[in-house]
Amino acid sequence: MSSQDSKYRYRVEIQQMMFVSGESNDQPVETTSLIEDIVRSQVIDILVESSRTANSRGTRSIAPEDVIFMIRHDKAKVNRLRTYLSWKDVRKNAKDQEGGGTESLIENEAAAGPTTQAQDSSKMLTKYKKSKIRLPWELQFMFSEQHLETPEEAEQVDDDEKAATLASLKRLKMADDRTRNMTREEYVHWSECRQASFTFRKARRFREWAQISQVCDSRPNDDVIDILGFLTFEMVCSLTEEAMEVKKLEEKLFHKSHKNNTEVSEATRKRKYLFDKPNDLSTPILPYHIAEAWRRLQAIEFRQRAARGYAGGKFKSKTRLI
Amino acid sequence: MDKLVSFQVNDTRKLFKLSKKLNETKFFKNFLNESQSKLLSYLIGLDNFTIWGNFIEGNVYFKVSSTSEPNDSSHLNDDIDVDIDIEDGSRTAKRMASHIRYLLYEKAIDFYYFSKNLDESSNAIDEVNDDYDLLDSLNTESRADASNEQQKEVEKPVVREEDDDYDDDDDDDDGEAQAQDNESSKMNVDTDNENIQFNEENQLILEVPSSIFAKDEQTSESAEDQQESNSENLEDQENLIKEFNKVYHNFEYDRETLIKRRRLEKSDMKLEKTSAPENKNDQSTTYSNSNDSGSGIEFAFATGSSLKHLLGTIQAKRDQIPLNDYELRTLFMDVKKNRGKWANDDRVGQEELYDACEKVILELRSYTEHSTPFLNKVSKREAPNYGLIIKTPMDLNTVMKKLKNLQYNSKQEFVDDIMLIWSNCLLYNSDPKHFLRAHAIAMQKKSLKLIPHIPNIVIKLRSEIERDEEKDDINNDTSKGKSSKKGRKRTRNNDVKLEHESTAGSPESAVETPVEDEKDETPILVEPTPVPEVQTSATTAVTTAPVEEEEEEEENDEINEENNTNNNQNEDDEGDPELQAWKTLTAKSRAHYCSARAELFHEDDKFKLNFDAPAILREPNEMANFNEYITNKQVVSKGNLLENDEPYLLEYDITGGLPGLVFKGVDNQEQERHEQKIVDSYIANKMEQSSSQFVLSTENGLNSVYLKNITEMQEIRRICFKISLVRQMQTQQFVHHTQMRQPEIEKIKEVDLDPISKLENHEEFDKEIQYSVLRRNVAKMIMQTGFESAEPFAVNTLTQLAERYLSNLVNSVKSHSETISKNRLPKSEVLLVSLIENGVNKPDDLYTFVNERLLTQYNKLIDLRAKLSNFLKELLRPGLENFNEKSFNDNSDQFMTGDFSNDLGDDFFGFKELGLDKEFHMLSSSIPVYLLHSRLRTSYASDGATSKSQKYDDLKDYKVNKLYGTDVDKQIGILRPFYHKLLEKSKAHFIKVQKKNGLSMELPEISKLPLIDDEELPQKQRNIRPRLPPTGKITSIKKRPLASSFFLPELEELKVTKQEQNDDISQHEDMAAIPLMSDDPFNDDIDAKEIELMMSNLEE
Repeated sequence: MSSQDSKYRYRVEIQQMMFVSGESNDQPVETTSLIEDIVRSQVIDILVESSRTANSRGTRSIAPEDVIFMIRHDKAKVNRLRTYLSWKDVRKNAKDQEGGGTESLIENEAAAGPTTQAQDSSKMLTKYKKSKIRLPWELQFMFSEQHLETPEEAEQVDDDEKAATLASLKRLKMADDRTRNMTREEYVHWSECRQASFTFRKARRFREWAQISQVCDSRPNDDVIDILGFLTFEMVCSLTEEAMEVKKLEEKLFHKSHKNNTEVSEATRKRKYLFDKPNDLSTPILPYHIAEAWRRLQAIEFRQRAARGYAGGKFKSKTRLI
Repeated sequence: MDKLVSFQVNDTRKLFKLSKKLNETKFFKNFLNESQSKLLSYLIGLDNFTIWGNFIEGNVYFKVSSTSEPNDSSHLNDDIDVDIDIEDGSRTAKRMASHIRYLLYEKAIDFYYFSKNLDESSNAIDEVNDDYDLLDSLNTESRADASNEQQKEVEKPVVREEDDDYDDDDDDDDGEAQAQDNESSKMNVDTDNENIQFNEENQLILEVPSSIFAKDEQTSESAEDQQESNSENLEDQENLIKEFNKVYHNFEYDRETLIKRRRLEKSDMKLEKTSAPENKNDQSTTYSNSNDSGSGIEFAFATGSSLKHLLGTIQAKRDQIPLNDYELRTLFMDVKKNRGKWANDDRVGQEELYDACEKVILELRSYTEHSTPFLNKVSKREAPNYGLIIKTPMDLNTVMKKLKNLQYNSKQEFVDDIMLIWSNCLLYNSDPKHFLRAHAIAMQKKSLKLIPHIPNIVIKLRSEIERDEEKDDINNDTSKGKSSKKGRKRTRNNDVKLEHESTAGSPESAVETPVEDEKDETPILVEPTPVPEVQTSATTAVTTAPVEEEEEEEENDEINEENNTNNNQNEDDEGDPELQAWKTLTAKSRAHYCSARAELFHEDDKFKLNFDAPAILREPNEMANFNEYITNKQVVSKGNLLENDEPYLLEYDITGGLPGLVFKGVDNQEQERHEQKIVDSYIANKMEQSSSQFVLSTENGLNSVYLKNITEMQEIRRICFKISLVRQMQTQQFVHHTQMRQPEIEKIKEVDLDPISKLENHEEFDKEIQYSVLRRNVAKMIMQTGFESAEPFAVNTLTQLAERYLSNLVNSVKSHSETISKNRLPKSEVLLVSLIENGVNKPDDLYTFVNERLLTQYNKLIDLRAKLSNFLKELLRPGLENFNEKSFNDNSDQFMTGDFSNDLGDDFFGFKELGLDKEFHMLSSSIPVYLLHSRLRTSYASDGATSKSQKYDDLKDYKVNKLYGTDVDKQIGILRPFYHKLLEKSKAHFIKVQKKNGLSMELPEISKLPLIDDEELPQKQRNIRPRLPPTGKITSIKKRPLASSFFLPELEELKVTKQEQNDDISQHEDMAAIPLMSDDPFNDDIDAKEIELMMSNLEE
């Protein structure tokens, strides 16, 4: 058991994350273990790939850009990551300047989400927010010289950012929907769950878990670990969402096939009693749901095959990052 | 020169002596025809000066008296010929006289030296002296004569004067005058008077005994003489030829020749036509004969006596030969094959005789100068009464036909017929001036020349000969074996024998027949008695060709006309044997050339070129002719003229002289080049009409977006370069000048990839072309993605990928639309499905792609560019922070742009040279940081100097007019105050200068007072050149009263107006154009203060 323990270390975190994405039931251990496996393989993939790009850049250590480069096509995710990082920056700076004074601030921010921070934002905060993350494949880095950014310029919101905010708004809406019917305690619990992370204050555990020392030549810096923490959270969320989708579909099918039976039973049992079971007994997400979700997420899109059309031969594909 | 006096004074006596001497050297024989030369030698032989004098003055009337009695028929013939040649009357005499004069004056001169040279070529040194021997001797003799006949000498000049006086008069008048002279001279000179008679026109009647001609003939009978004359004849010809380059001939002769030649050819054709069937008949008859016979004897008879013995043996052993008659016959035919066309075993001697006769006829016919009228029979239309006068008509073609019909049995018959033609003509055209007579006489002469070449053979029938042979066989058995072997030769031997016998038998006849020349090697068979068996049947042949007469009528008329018109000329020409010879010798080739040339023109319209006619091609061997012509000193070689049937004529040859073009053949490159040229020109034409579909429009569509993006990127790169340069300068101590060079960024141009595909015959969907088009588009995408350059390999790979992707797309569309499945999709869905299959989930993706990747990128790029250029400006504008808010009170842009050196009105910092001004219009005169590095200056100065000198080279020559006081009011209003002020200044200056020099301080006239230029301004008034400290801090310059100049908003306008005026004040402009870095003393022309003043004036 100890070996198993050492293998799956994030059951609690995963459960929290799943709860955040809407799965309210108690998940079986198999499910969390499967998710943990998937996430770990993804993390290792990311590390291997980004160390490769780092090598091709000529450096041995993985820079944050290398990791972001992996997910560059998912612009919404990149933007969320960016905001996450910028806030992390703010937090770091604030810590440097004012000691632990900003601790609460960050709690607040993290709790309120990126858009809600404005309410209690101080001047200092806006000032620090300026240190925007610039990615090397942005247009301005196409050229050999960059201009110095003036404060006004930095205020301007990129189109990319707009798109990202749109996407994040969508996510927020979803979160809002989920939390609408929650009681106060429930909401507190939910927000606590949102803070769940593979890496936050568990960097060492994470390194061991992902076997970073084996995968990478040099120890990736904290930023990279933070990014990975963010990404793992996203991974779990998307997996859970997909699995829930799968489960819903499955139930739909089940209902269709047992329509007559249910109709009869429903007709007979109209009244509800106090100790009756809840109406739709929702089952937790089982491993096969996760597996199906993983399959779906790994489905090869047409665009990846397009160049190979009519060519025959075996199509090799890498695992996609979720 | 005094030696030529005798020619000058027209001293007939001397000329007489000269001609005597010349006659001794047989000089005249070269230039006169036979009878003429004979006549001349007779004249000289008379040795009567009076006659000579009259003759040479053309005052002689020839009267030929046939004193000598005709001994035999041949003599008679000759006499008649001569009579006709030398006509009675003064006309011929005059003509001959003038000709001889011409010879003496012109030709003889050559001869004097020539003869000497020939004779004394060994002592070449003395030549020069000897040259005049002949003339010298003449002079001495004449002197001797002069002493003897002084009186005459006295009179001579008078005569000559009179001659001169009457030069313009008619011959008759002249003649009369001469006659008077002659009379007077006759009175003085009593010698030889008895021979001289005068006719009624006071012309001297010269009776020329015709015997002289005959005598000559007789003299020529002796063998040596004959040989000599023959060789002389050749020499004559050569001499004639020698002078051919001097022959004056015009192309008018050619027409005549051409027409004659044509007629000759036509008659040739006719002859062949008529003779061809006859020949056939002949053959058939002989064949039938032989076929009929069948028996061996007759067969042998047919094949001829030469094979008699062979045949005899064959006959004897006929039974042993395994061949039938026919086979034998063919065998014999084979043996016979290589014999001449006249060969006839039946008729001994025919081959030789007919060969010669044919040659003679052909020669006569080809003598087109004269032969044309005699080619065909005289038609009734031409001469209605011809038949009445001429009983036995004859013409050359008839003779030819008779010859072909084997109607002649002896030379005599043939000769008779030939001579009959001429005598007929002379008989019919009794008028001595008739033009045909001249032709006839000429032909007669020609034929007389030719006839001796015909061997005198009488054709015998084989049977007779055989009879003779039998006798011979008895006589000499020894020769039999030989002769039987040699066949034909044997008969000859017999002939020779016969000849010997006959010559021995009748010596007179040997005298009678002209001896053959050395060319004719065949032994002569003299046959005194003509053979009676063969009868002349001219009449049969005569009737053969009256068909085409009518056709020829017209031509005949034409020729007649021509002949009439040319008559006089011809007569004149006839006197000149050179021209005659030239005409005859060159007739054929001239006709040839002319006909070739005539083919180039339309038959109907002579003035239009016939474009379809074959060109006159240059033949390579003609070049050799041409070269020979050029190198040969005799110009017309005798080989060319005498041996060649068609001599080469330089003046007619239009192609031979051209050098052959070296034609290497068309190799591939050459062809390629030519074709390329053609295609290029064609495409250039097409290009004007429309560009090919491979050129994408730059105005609209995706392409324009791409292009805009790319150009924007390029602009940004330029700016980036500058920024990096500035950064380098800020950090580095030293910047190499190569680092300052702009990277060359080419502008993207839409080039027609394959202009050839615009041609109709080109396939637009050629794989290579399409590939390259795709490749170019891919390259554009690569550039748009941000690559400055790409490896061709990479581009190719990408292109191939794109190619594959597109073909996949099309493939899926195809397979969907061609599917046999029942639920076939509608077209739009087919497209959508194919798109999905190929990675485009929905068509909107395409739109979003364009929107995000291109349009937003473009906007971003524009933003970026603006930002970067602002950044650059910031970099180039140090120390601006030092300005306080007050400086911006008037919203002046200058502080923003750093544009304060604009008021200096020039490229103060040489930005124009750097090309920076184009990038930033406002930046043109602000001070960049790096220029503040003082050490850079030197490198820039050297750098700028070269470009500057190139730039202003053409302006250096421009001399600036000085302006004077009166010119001030001519300036445009806006500048007038400035000039007024300048005038004041210059006045003050003038006075100052005068004072300094201690001269009068009075001002000169205002029109003469020059306005001072910038250099002349006193030091204080000049604009102070800002000096930058090595620190690069621009602060010092702020101490200048710049503030006053900042607030002139119309500065730009002012500048413009000033430029309009720069013709008048171009001194200023010139100075303005010289940049800062030059070593020239720099003077700013318009001070800020001045401008301010002007402005204030304006405001007023």
